[in-house]
Amino acid sequence: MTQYLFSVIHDYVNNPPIADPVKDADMFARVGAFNESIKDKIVFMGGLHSPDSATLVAEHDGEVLVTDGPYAQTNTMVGGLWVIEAADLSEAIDLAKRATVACGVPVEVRPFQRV
Amino acid sequence: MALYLIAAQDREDSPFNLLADPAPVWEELTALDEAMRAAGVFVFSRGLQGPDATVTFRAQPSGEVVRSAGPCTPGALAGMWIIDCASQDQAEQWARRCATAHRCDVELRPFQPHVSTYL
Repeated sequence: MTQYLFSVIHDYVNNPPIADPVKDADMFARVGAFNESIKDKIVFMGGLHSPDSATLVAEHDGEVLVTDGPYAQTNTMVGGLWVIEAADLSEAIDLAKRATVACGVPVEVRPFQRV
Repeated sequence: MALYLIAAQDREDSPFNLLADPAPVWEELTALDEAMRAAGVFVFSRGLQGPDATVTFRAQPSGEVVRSAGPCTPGALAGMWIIDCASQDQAEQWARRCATAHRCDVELRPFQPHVSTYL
């Protein structure tokens, strides 16, 4: 089995999440049902607070600096994620197709390294 | 307690060359995981494979799902920790230790409540 990261990609400028209570309720219901149907394959899942809640921690010349705000300021950013355990990329892709339909925004699939 | 994502970011101008001497990095990362477990904050940690192993799926209003090779975002996410902390301050202390152990920039960001709480 391999672990895969499913990144949920939000366009925070043109199509921000948590904007329409009715649409959001539909989305949460779809995601909840999707989660329930694959719960034995979910290592972790969670939605992130908006990018302005991020804090950057970076080492420069031996000093660790802490600054408010995200690493990269772009229109599209990660809004949440699943860590999924799947037999292979083919199974991960089948699950990702269901994930993007459930959450209504693009999903990026990337395998974790083996430790 | 609240869940936080600590996202490790690859940086093109990184002053560190991890490939030159990776053993101390792996040792420090392993020790950091152990410290997180001992402190009761550890949820998950793992490095990602490269961007060229990434596939993107886009749901269309028609119901079709379009697949494309490569990442969806221009960022350079290299791996992540997920921790369960009592406060932002505590999470920032762990984020500092992650940046130091992995010799990389990290982004700390809190998770929302679980999706089921919105139903």
